[in-house]
Amino acid sequence: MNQGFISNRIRTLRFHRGEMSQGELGQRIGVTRQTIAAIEAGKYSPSLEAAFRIAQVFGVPLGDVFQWEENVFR
Amino acid sequence: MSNIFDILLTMRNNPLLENEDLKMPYREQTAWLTLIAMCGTFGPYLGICEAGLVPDAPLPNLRQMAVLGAAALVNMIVLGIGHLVLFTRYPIEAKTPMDERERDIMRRSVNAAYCVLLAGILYVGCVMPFTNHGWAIVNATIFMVVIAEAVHQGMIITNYRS
Repeated sequence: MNQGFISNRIRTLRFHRGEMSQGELGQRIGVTRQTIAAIEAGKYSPSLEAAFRIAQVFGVPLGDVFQWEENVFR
Repeated sequence: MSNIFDILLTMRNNPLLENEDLKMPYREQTAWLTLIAMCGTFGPYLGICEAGLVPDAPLPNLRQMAVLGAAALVNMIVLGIGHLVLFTRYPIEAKTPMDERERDIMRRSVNAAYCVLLAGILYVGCVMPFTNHGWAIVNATIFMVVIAEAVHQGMIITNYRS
């Protein structure tokens, strides 16, 4: 199995949307602010549905928000 | 030279830190409340029983029952007041349904607590009747429930913090 992890650009995308707060993003996709913080920090991988909702809020394809990073150290 | 109070004052006046970053999630607070209430009431109860302060009289042993009733009552009062205070302070968070991460945390913590409870109840129900009787079995059951609940709430807290 390929070793890797999911990275995301949510922090950058929030910045480009006028410094949208984690709370506001969470409200728009139906999760708590803490969950957005956990997703941003890579501590929690959201469901596919939540991931699509996040991409929809920013108006970008899913691949622009989440990326699969190969772990070269393993 | 800044000391800890200056740093705290700066943090307190810093608008960036005045957001919710420093606030504990509502469900973590309720987990702490349940854990503290459980350990703070049934812990002393089990300690009193273990120390032999309540005489091991034949069933129904009303003194023992009264002590257990008092522990349960205090537990209910602490939980009731605690939840009321939390609900009053954070009404929106209290009414907000759990999101997918919170449900995931809940599922994992319940699974772990179920295993602990199952092992405990198997011991209490299948082993202890051959060696013990009466209140010893009752108290062992309460102990297993407290341990399972501590695992449940402890895992919720740990998962919210990791």
